[in-house]
Amino acid sequence: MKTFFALFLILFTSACVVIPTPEHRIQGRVPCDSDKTTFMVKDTTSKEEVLLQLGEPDLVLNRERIFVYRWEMVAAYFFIGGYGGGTGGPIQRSHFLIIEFDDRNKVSRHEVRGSVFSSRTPSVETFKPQRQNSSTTNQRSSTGSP
Amino acid sequence: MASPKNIFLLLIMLGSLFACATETLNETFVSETFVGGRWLSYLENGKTKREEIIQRLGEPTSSFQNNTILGYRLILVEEGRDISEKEYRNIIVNHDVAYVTPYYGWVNNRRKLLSEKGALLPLREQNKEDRILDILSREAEYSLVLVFDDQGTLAGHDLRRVMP
Repeated sequence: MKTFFALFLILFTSACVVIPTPEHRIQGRVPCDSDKTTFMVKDTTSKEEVLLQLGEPDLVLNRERIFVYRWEMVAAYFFIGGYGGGTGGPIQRSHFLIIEFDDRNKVSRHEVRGSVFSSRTPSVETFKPQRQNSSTTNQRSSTGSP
Repeated sequence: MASPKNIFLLLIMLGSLFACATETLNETFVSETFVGGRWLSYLENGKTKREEIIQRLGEPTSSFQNNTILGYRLILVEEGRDISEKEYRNIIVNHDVAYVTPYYGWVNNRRKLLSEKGALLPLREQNKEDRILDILSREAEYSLVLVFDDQGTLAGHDLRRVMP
């Protein structure tokens, strides 16, 4: 009877709650969101200006043709409660600023992408130059953030 | 019936609680302006040579456009010593508590202390493993970008806070 009662409590007093919140940052990289990219003008802004304004990118691809900045924002909090214990924490949403440069080292494309779940992070194609189909050797930046 | 002494004690406790709850995060000592002036004042566009910078900061973290642009990842940490694992844990716990409560007294004190006795440590692949506790417990992280002209003289530079 006691075992049944314990099982009953475990089954019917457990709960999982997800509370969505306005996106906010609690730690990690400073966002490079739309507010920080207003200075970028297609075919005009240089790589030098981008680096001076935003700092080093988190990822450098295709021989410096593509810069990627990545940051995380909290989109919700989850709480799991059970008999005798519980836990909770933030649900992070990853964001990417992808900047592509042309042969003259001018910005040819830039966009901010984001997703909650890893399966919805931008596809590999997003990080490839849009004008060329052949993949070149990827070069990872030495500045990977901890 | 509560005695006047108990009420007085209760008021003091509540007063302390509200005083704690209202302490906001002080960004002064980790701002780009303060850190640049405190540790990188020798950088002058049109004057400072590439060799001098490398002598002071070491090899850069990254380079762009055939080495005409150099990047340094700099972290604000305690100066001149490796922190112990106990210190690291203490910093992490205090940080977590500060950002959850939110009561930033401890963080503000650390920032003030670092502004007086801290250091900007350049990160490289070579020292990342050795300084892992410093990296994880850093108070702030910056990206310094330096642009040089054909003569190797500093033409432009900017310090950006990238974390936290």
